[in-house]
Order: sequence, then C-alpha cells, then structure tokens
Amino acid sequence: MNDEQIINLFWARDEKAITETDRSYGSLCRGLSQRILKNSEDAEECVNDSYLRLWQRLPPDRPDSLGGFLTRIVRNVSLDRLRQNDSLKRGGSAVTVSLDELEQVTGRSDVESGVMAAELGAAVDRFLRTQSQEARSIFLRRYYYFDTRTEIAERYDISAAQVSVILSRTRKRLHNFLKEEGLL
Amino acid sequence: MKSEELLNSLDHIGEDLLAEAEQNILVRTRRPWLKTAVAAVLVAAIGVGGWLTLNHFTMKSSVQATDPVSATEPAQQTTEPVQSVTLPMLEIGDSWETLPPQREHCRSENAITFSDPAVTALPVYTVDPEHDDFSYYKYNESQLRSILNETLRSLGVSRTGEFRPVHQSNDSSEDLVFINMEVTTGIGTISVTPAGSIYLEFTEPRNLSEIKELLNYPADSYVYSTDAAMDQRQLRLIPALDEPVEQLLVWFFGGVYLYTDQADLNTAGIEAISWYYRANEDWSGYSEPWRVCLGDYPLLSLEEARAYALNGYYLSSDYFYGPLTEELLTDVELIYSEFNFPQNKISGIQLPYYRFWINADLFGECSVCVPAVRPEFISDWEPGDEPAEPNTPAEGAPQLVKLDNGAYEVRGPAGSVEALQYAGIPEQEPIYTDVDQDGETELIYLFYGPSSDPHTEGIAVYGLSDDLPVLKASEILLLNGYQARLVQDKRIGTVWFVLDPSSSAPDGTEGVRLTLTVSRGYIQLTGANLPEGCERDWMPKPTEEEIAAAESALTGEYFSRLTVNKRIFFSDGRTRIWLENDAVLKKDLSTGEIETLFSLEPNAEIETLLLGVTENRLYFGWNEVEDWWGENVYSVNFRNEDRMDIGNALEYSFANGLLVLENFRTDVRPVTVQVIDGRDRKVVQYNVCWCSAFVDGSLYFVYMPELQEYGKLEGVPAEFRDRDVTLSYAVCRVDPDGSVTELGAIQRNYPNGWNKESAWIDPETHTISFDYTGICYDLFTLALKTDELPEDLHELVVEDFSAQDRYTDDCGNVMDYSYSIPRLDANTQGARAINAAIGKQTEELRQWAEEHEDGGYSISVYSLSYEVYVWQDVVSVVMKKSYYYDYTEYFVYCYDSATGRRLDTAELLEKLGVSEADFLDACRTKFREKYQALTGSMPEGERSQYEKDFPDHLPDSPKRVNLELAVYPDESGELIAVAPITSWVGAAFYYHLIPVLDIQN
Repeated sequence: MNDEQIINLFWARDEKAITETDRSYGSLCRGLSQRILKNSEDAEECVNDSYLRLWQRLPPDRPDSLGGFLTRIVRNVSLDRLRQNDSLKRGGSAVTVSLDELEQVTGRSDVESGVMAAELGAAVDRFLRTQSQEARSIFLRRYYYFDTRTEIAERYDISAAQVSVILSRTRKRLHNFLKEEGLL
Repeated sequence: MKSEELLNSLDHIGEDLLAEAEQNILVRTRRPWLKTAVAAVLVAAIGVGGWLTLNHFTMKSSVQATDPVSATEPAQQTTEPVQSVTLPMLEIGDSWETLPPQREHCRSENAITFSDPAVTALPVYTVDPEHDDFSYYKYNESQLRSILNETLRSLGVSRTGEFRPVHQSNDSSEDLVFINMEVTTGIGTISVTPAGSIYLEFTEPRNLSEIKELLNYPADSYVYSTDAAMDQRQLRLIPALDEPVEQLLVWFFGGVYLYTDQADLNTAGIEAISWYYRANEDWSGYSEPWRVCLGDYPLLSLEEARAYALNGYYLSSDYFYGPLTEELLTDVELIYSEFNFPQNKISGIQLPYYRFWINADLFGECSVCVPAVRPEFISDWEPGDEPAEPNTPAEGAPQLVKLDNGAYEVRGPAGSVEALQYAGIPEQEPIYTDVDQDGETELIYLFYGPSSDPHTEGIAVYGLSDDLPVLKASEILLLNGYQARLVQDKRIGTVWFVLDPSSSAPDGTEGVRLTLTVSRGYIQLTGANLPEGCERDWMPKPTEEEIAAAESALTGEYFSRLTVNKRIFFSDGRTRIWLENDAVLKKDLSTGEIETLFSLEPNAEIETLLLGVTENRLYFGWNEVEDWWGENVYSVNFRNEDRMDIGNALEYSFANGLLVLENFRTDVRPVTVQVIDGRDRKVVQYNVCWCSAFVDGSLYFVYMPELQEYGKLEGVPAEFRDRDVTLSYAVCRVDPDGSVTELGAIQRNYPNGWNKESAWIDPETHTISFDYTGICYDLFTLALKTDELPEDLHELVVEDFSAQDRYTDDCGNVMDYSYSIPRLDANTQGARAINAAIGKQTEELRQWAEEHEDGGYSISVYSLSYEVYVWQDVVSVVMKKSYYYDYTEYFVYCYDSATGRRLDTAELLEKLGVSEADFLDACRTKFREKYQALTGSMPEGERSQYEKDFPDHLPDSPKRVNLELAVYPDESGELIAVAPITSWVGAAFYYHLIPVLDIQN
C-alpha cells in the first residue's frame, strides 16, 4: 500500500491505517526511536505514541511524504522521552554523541540563542541544499536519524573514516554559514 | 546557541532531504566550487593552487593540518586512525573506442582551452552497479512528489492542481503500470518518472530566451545539437558557466533537452524541456542517474599528453599507423568516453581523453587519443619514457610499397573492407555488379581520394570484393603527386577521375582522364599519359582469337548468346553485339568495323544486362541495385530505337531468336510465362503459373487452367482459394520454337502456401519435379527423356530381389520362406512411384532376409511372389504376400507404359473405357456370388443373423465395394478385382481374385 492509500485510510478513519503504517514504517520508526532511547521498551512506547499522534494529525493534515511526516513525529516523541528520562546528558546514546559533535557548530554554550527553531531549521535547510548529496545525507543520517558512523558507512558502502571526515567538514561549513547568517 | 537547539531545528528540514537520506546511494559528484570563506582559508593555508587536487588526493596532509576531528571526536573514535582518501585504480579497457565521432563535440564559442592551469583534475564516472540494467532509481510516489515540489521551487512556479500519479496499461497484460507523477502549473504540466526523468510540457510554446530566463541560465548559454536516432535532431541547452571545469562537465553531462519542430529557436516553438533529477543539483545538472563518480582524478597536462602521443603512446580506433609527427597534428580536444550498452546493460567508465586530430596523406583525417587521467591511476595503460615502436599494420593488412614512378601501391592478401579501412582509405558506396558472370552479384568497394576533398593530392582507386576470387590481391593504386578531380559520379560500370589539370584528355576534358571500369567480366583501370605501371587489368578480357573461336562453332541463323572468359557476347557468326560500359557495340565480323548501336542512360542505381539480340531488336534486363524482384525487361529496336516495356522477369531463356521469360511479380503470383519472338510478339502467355524450370532451352511450367481468365492471383475469387476446392494443375513445355505442349494435368486441392522454388531437376534421372506446399507436396514428376519400350512389355518388370531358405525360430520351428521382389525397369515417374510403393511393402522382409540368423522370432510371411499381366499398354504387377496363418494379401500396381504413369483404379477404368458405375455394379454382383458360394454351408439362420448384425461386412456393402478396390486387367481381357469377401469364421474377410468384367470389347 502506498502513502496516499494509507493517508486515505486515516482520512476515512479506518483503523487499518495504523496497521498499514506499521507495516510500511514500523521498523524505520522503531529503529530511529531505539537509537535515540537505547531502550527497546521505551522505543516501542514512543512508536505507539507516534501512531496516536499521527491518527490525531490526519486529517486535517495530508502530508506529501508519510514517512517523513511520521519520522518527524517519532523523533520528537523520542527526544521528548529522552528529556523526560533526563537522559539527554548522561552519555552513551547517539543523541549525546550528536550533541557533542554539534557543539563544533554552535560552540560550547548552555545559553539558548533565542532563535526560533523554525528559523534555525530553515537556515540549516538552506545550508544543506548548498551541499553535495553525499554531505547532507550523511549529516542527516547522523544528526536526524542518529545513525552511528559505522551504520552510515555500511549504508553507503564507504569507510567510517570517510564518514568522520565528511561530517567534520560539514559541521565546519555549517558553523561558518550560521555565522554569516547572523544566527551564531 | 545550544547544540540541542540545533539538533531540534532539524525537525524543520525539508521532507525531500529526509527522503534523500533514506536512500542507500551516495552520489559522489564533484564537489561544487566553494564560494565560502572556508575554501579560501583552505587554499591559503595549504598554499597550493587547485584545491581540488589537494583536498581529494592528499587527504592526509590536509587532515593533519587542519582537521578538527582529532580534537573533538569522542574517546572511542580518536583511536581510530584517520585514513587518506584513495582513488580506485582505473581500468580503461576499450573505453576510448566509445569516443563520439563528432569532432565538434566539445566546441562552441565558449570552448575550453586546456592550458587553463585551474583544470588539474576531472571526475571519472562508473556505473552504479545497483542500476546497471537500466532499473534506475525507483523513486516512490512520495519521493516523486518531493521531487516535483523541489522542481517547482527551483522554477519559481506554483502548482495549480494536485499531484497525480499516472498509470497506463501494460501491453502484455491488463495491469495498469505506474509511469509517472505529474502536476499542473501556471506554465505547463511537469511530470517525473520513477527513474527521475523530469518533463515540463509548456501550456504555450516558448522561445529560447524565455527558456533561459525560466531556468535562470545566463543569456549566453547555447544550444548544442546532435543527431539522435531516427534522424531526429536532439537539442540540449547548455548553461554558460564561469568555471571551465564545470562548463566542460555540463557540456558532457548536463543541461536540459529541448523539444521543438522549429528550426529557429528564437520563435515560440519549444514545446517542452526535460532533464534528469539529481538530488544535489542546480541546473548545471548531471544527466543519467546511473552515473556514479569514482572521484576527481588528476590530469595530464596537454603538453604531457602531446609528448606521449608523439612518442607513440596513444590509442586509436582509426586505422592509423606509422610514426606520429608534430606536423601531422591539426587539432586537439578534451572529450569523455561513453558507457557501453551491450544487451541493455550499462558498463564501462567515463573518463576524459585528449583526442589529437591528424591529417595524414595515406589515412586522411583520423585521430589518436591519450587518457587525460594521469597514468599512475590507470592499471591498463603504461606509457613509457622512451619512444614506442610505431604502430604497424596488422598481419595480413595491406603493405605500402613505393614504385619507381613515384606512385604507391599497397599490396596484400585479398581481404575484407576492414583491411582497406585499416589502410586508412575512406570507403564509398559499393558497386553492385555481377563481375564474374555467375549470376550472383558481387560488391566492389571503391576507395578514392585520401579524403573526400577532390583537390587533395593523390588518389586511391581500388576494387575489391570478398566474393570475387579473381581479385586475389588487394591493390590500391595511389597516384601521388596528381591533383585529382572527380569528373563524373560513380556509376555502375565506370568511375571517371580527372588527374593533372595541366594536361587535357582527347575529349577536351581537362586533365588526364583515368577510367576505372567495373563491369561484367572485368575490372580495368585505364587512362592516357599515366605513369608506367598505373594501368591495371584486374580481370583479363577475352582475346579476339578466343571470341572468334567461340563464334566459329555457331551454326544457327539466329543470334546466340556466348560467354567467353566471363564476358557475354551475342553473335550469329556474321555480326557480334555486346554491352560495354554504357553502350551496345556492334562489330561486322567481315569488315571489322565497330559501331555504337545503342547508348544506355547512365544511372548508378541501375544495372543493365543485355538479355538477347534478334534480327532487329535488343532485349535488355535492368534492375535497381539491391532490388531482388528480378529484372525488368524491355526491348529496343536498334533500327529506330523504339522501346517497348515487357515486364518483370526473374528467369529468362534466349535461343533461336526466341526469348522465354518467367515473370515474377508480387502482384502476379504465382508466375506468368511469356514467350516473345524477334518481332516482339507474345507467342504465348500463361497466367497464374505455379512453378517452372528451364531444361535444355525449353521451359517447363505448371499452370492452373481454371484460373487463366483471372490474369493474376489478386483477381482470383476467394472461393477458388478454399482448401477444399480441387483445381487442375497442368504441366506444359515451351520449346525454343515457341511451340507449347501440354504434358498432363492432375487435380489437387488449392495449396495454402506459395513456394516459388518448387521446380527442380534431377540431373541423374533427368526428371523434373514440381512441388507445391499445402495439403499435398508432390505435384508432378516428369521424365524429360524416356527409354524406349521393350517389345514385350513383360520385360519392363524384373526381379529386383530373391531369397529362399529354411529358417529355424527360437522355438525350434522350421520355417521355409521364399521371397521374390519385382521392380519396374523404366525411367519414368510412374515406374519410380511403383518401385517406391513396392519398396515400402517389402523393405522389412528384404532386410530380414539379408540379415537374419536362426534362433530369432518366428516369421509370418513365408512367401512373397508376383505376377505380371500385360493388357494393351497397361502393365500390371500383382504382388502376393502369403502368411503362415492362412492369410494372403495382394498388392496391385498398374503402369501405363504409354505415358509412364502409375494408374489408380479410377484412372485405369477411364483408360479401359469402363464406367465407374458399371464397375461397381459388377463388383457387387460378383462379390455377392462369391460370398454365397463360400458361405452356402452355413445354417441360414446363423448367416442371416450375422448379416443383420454386421451389414458393413457384407461383400457388396459400400465399405467393400468402392474405388479403393485394387483391380487390374489380365491378359485374357478380364478385369480382375482383389475382392475382400466376408467370412464369418476366422478373419472378417479374405481376399480373392475375382474376374468382374470382360473388357475385351
């Protein structure tokens, strides 16, 4: 079943929508959540919560990409759970690693910038579009999907070292970009 | 800013970027020129021009110098050594053979010069192994919507409708197949296929300026035109870019395709544009999605590449050989090789080459190439420092030999066109002509001029045919030092060149005329004032003595066709007429005077053959080159040049002033036979003929009498073409005097196929057989010559095999056998048919008799014998086969010695003048009488019960009495039938020989 058909089920309030969603995106969602939470039970709960949110969002939403829409929900739900568990800074999770790395971009600061997430996100979006497909895909796999370097290397059949180098450069470029944009 | 803010902000990243990250493929393109300060910092810090080189190939130094990874990597990662990025070794294979042929491929007003020091590396591409079978990426519908969204943003247009998936039915099934996603906009409809091919069809056609503006291309972007398949013109709009490398790459791989029928792109005629989606790209975009970048490879400089080429380290798909010198180089370009597409799989690599163009006397314009990538990155190309041995012609290729007179000859074994092409001689269209007069057309390849420029110094003239044994040596005549000008275009038979404009030919033509004559029977190069040794006679002409000797044997009053040393002449012993070049010449044999009788209109596309000469007419056949529909025949009265078109003929025979044509036309099928005399009278014409063959000057053919009125097959009503319709097939012979004799006719059903190759001659038995496809395969077999009949027709039947012996089977039974097998000793169709039938009945017994040994199975036939009866000219062979279990079979073969044909029952009755009805009545009566006599002792009630239960078994039932009965006339004038007489004991019936009619009267 394709995205449009699943979305139509949501719109028709047919409960098969959840089943079909899980069939198409369940493993993706659970993997993403598990990477964030490092706990399968928590991940399962987050995925289920995400399905509920999806049910509540559709309708009126009718996303172009159900997978993208859903993973966004899963990511946020999982990060929220991580915060709730106060695990964000404890280390050992992919998120922690990502945060540490992104400090290369933001600098070591505990002060909120006051920049709206949407504005910052739009800026990052603009930046990523100026990068090669290779650079931005690896960047997003690392910082959106929280893949490990090894997982990224396996996914794209390159060495982990190459992944490191590419991430490093991209972070550096992002830093410069945000600086030029006046967001840093 | 906290890093967490940044992390959270990724929630607002576009879905298309997320979808892209979901794919498992990285497209590693050349990194775009960084316009940020970072690049400048990097370059400045490293201090070497060409950041591409450094960043890609010496990662170690840059990493060590500037990479912050070591400072910030988490603990578990710092132990991992940082590896330098290495480029995979390349294997170029035969990729240089895929270079596009167009010399202008990389040319435009914005062409790149290769002395630009910034261009020190270029990408090399390979095929994505996941998609080497054209499976491409399979973007799903969600991804396709994202692509369309991105496209809309790039174009700055909004959609005016919903995204619509488009399906169409699959030809091989009723399933609907998804083909693309489309969306309507204010400017037109945009669609994208699962492979990522984007197509924008404008609502209103646009001109080029509008397209450029829409795509945000610079105004000086240009259109590159190539010839695509099906004579289509393919237009690609290439953006004008500032960076030379980007410009070069977009030349090869980028831009958008334009769709228009208009020649002038400044008019509003561009109806659509298309390009391939690339996730990372701006409009400079790189086309096919299966292209994957292996990396940016460092290049040789132009100077280095040139030095390699001049040292002999080059690759060439042209047949250039010999040392390459600076003087021969005329131009250079940088060009990418193409992928290979064998059997719908993509393979190979695309890498840049320097292509050096050469103009050499012997080879004309050709090229050699040098891989532009540095050789240390190539595993199968190793140029050296010392000059390489110059290329030499391959074994068997022509060798160049300079003659004393300054001309050149290239000699070598007879070979193919490829051998000539190896010598660098450009090929022209071949000449088709039957040089050796064997009825098969040879191809003569003519090469003239080292280039197509007629003013080029020197000329090469060459004649070759793979099928022509007379040309055993490949010869190229190179008249070096002569200015050549083509006077007349190549024609069948003659090619004329003019050399040396300072001299003049006898006919006033400027210069020396060199004539290459390629005609039936000879290939010859002649001319005036030519250096010694330049004239060539590839095939010897017959001498006058040889022709005269052939003519001295003529005795008839008409013109006869002679072939002397592969040349055709017509002669009656007093006048000789022949075709030479484009003229028909006539020679009075008593005075020796030669005159031109008739001139043919020269036409390179038509080959003319002189078919025959009569008292006042010439008969020509002409056909278009490569037209296999046969000759068109026309006649010209050489006294008044009156021309008459006769029609189409595939075969012809000319003798005694009579031309016999078998016409074959697709609209007159089967064939038409025409016989035409010297005064163009059609002596006879038969339509709807079936098959024919010439034997000793006579034409034998089969035609269908019932269909003559219809003229041609197209006019034959459908009811005659039904398979169940029985039609007549008559065999005729047309003799050289024009007389037609019908040899016989049979009836057959209309065949369901046409086989024009359905008449053939058996040279051993001198029979001609006619065949036809469909229900029956045999039509006729005629003996063209029959032996004389013996006085006693019994002598026509001889014993072919005899065996008598005693045999003991595996049970100890002793069995005596006696076999005598007959044969008709006559060379006729009927005799052959009878002998074949006898063979079928006796073959097994014969073989057993020859090969058996005691101790095998019991035999069932203990006797095989025959009798011969002659009644008038009917010879009947009655073979009797007797079985151990008291059963006897009779096999009757009736032979009409007058016609040489086998007679079946109906034909025998007709020959004997007996009506079928009388015969059948007589059989019923006689068979019933015999039955009554044999069953008289049976109890009446029992017999009547049998008769009631089995009516078909009665001796006079239709099952027993019909024209399948075997009958023969015995020598007392009685018609004997082999009668199956009912028996109520034992077998259902037993055969009895029963006289049924007295035929004496």
